[in-house]
Amino acid sequence: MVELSQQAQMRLQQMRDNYKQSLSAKKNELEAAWAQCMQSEWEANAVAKLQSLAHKLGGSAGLYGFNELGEASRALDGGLAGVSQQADKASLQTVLALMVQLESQFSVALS
Amino acid sequence: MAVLPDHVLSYLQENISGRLSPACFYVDAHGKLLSWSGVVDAYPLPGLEAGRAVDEFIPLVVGLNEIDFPLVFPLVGLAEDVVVNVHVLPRKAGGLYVLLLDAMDEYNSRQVYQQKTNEVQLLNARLKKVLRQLEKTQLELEQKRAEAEEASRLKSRFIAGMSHEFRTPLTSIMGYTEMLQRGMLDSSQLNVASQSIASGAQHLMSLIDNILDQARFAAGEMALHNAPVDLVAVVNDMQAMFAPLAEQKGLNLELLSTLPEPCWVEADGMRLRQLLINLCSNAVKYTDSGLVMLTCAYTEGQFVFAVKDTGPGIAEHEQQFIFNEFHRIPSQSAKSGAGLGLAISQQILEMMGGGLTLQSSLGWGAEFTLSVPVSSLSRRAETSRAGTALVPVERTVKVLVAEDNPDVVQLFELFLQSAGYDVLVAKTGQQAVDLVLQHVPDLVLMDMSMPVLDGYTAVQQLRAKGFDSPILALTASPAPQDKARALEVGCNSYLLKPIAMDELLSKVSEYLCVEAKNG
Amino acid sequence: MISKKICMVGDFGVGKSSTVARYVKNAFSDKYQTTVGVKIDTKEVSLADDTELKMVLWDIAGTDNLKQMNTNYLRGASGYLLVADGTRAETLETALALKKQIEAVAGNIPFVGLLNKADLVDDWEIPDSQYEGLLVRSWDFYKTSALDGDNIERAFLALAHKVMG
Repeated sequence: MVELSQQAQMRLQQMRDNYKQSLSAKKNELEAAWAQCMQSEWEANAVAKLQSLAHKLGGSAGLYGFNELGEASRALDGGLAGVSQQADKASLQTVLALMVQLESQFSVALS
Repeated sequence: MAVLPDHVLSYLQENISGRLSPACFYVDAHGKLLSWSGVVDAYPLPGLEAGRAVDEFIPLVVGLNEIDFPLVFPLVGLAEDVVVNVHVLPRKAGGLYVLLLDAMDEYNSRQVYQQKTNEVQLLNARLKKVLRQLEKTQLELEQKRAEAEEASRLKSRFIAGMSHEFRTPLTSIMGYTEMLQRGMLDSSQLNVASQSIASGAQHLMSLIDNILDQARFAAGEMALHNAPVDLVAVVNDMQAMFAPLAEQKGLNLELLSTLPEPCWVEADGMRLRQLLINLCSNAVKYTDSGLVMLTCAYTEGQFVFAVKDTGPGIAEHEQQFIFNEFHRIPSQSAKSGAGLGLAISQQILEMMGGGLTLQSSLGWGAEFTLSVPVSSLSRRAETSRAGTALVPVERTVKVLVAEDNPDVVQLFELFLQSAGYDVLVAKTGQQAVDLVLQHVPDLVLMDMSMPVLDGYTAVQQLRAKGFDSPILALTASPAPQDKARALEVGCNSYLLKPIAMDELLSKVSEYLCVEAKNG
Repeated sequence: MISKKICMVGDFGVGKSSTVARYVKNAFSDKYQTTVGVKIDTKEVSLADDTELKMVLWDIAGTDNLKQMNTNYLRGASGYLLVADGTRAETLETALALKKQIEAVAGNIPFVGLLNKADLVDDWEIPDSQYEGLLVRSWDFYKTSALDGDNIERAFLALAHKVMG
């Protein structure tokens, strides 16, 4: 691991704290997007928005040490890609399961 | 014949003497000059001395030992302006008489005639030579003309072929967009439509890439960027890239490598990957069942990579055409692909000093073997891999990070700055292009999925504009085609998100060390 | 001092007289003046073993057929120089034909071959393979230039040594 100066270490810690704090807001965003998907019956734009949020989370969570959270986000991202291709019962069920998993990881992360 | 009267004889003698200046030399049997008579002064024979060897004065007698009958040597040039007819007669007492008779008049007239004749002949010979040369030149010009015509024909065929190739995906794109505009699609069809449009666009993109490659190649503009490359990493990537697709088709994909690990060589990594991807992709695409085997070795300075498949094989009479720019095997033409891949691959390989060969027969699969000479490198920068503190850089190195996720950006910034780099940030592909061209960083980290011009396009534009420094792709997608795409558009390597910070820094350092080395 | 008769034979215009002029007088003129009959010159040389030899050079008018030559010129010759023009391939064939004819008349006397005009590199018509083909038969052939003197002395000295046995 690279040697960080004192100042950098402090900054890193601060960023980590900020990120952790931002997690609950991110969770809310995801939940809202999820609700929109359900409401619109998985209309393409809603799905895209949800997927984008999951993708972003998947790309950043791991960097801040929230590895499982990141993994669950990426899994959801992948699952949603299946939905945008074919919004059938099976893929929707998969996505539901993934969303549940993600929620539980949020709980862990926020505790 | 009756003897002439005395006074006629003496008249004759005087006349002859007057005209022919006869000089006679008496030589004994041992080659010594005894005496002489006649108009000796007419000839350049200074210092005549009896008793000395005659060839001291008259060298022409050298070699004449025993003669039984008179010998005549006509037109003997003794000196400038002295030409004689020489008559050598045997003496009854042994030895010789050597009689010199002036022959200048005869010589002069003969000389003029002979000179003219010879000159004419020499001129004729030269003329013939020139004509032969002209004929040869004419033939060469004819050949060049035929070649130019052939090239022109090929170009027309190329354009015609290209035009057809472009229409296919465009038709799909235009058709679907028209339907979209008219609102003729319901939500379930939207996905199909967007998928088709996307893949059509992708197809067009690779067509354009191929053509650009061809054009650059033809214009002699294709340059190789050599850098340290680990062949082991490259071949492993190939396996990783195509394994999913092979599995999907139920094919066995095997890699047999006798490369030493690692195997660092000096090569254009991007082009090499391009070539290998082309071969692997063809094998996997055209094989519907069985096996695709990749073998590689590095011997005697040559990297050899073979792709063997259990596909339909290629008939012998087709094989010679397969490397043509446009050729596609009729039975396989339903499968997509511009058919340019092998042609440009072969050209690139030739430029690298290597070659591509094919072994196949109909019904028995095909084996494409690529070989290219690469020089091995003994060692590489170890510091970045050992996980120890980074060696501080000598001057401020600029790194540009193109990433739209702020959580990611700030972290990268922190670590890159701690490692001593100057960090520039771009939030969109367009911004990335602008900033790179403006600041010319030493390395670029490019996220492949940004808004307003995605990473792929940005990289393409930068390479097209001549930006040569390393570009590392950041992609969240492990899909082989995305990885391949990143390399094809000109990235030096790809990093999967999320990436650990020490890996990020070590990769950045690796590619910067390379740059510094190539400096 | 020993004296030996040496003949210069070859097609016309190959450079026999120029070669003699270069060797005897160390002079060169690019003016072509055809030899008629024969010209005689002498040159004294010191050989490797310190013996002296006087070479009596018979520069015979160029011809492509021995029948046109007065064979008396060859009488008593100890050796000969076979001269061809490297910029005219046909003169080499003439030289080789003359060689055969000379052997019939004068026997197997030593000879040295000259491919003259070696300075005219661009017009050279004798390919290396043909040249090597000559050497391979143990024939002594030199690429000479009467213009710059290249190999002239060497060729004459070589013949001198052969003639002295």
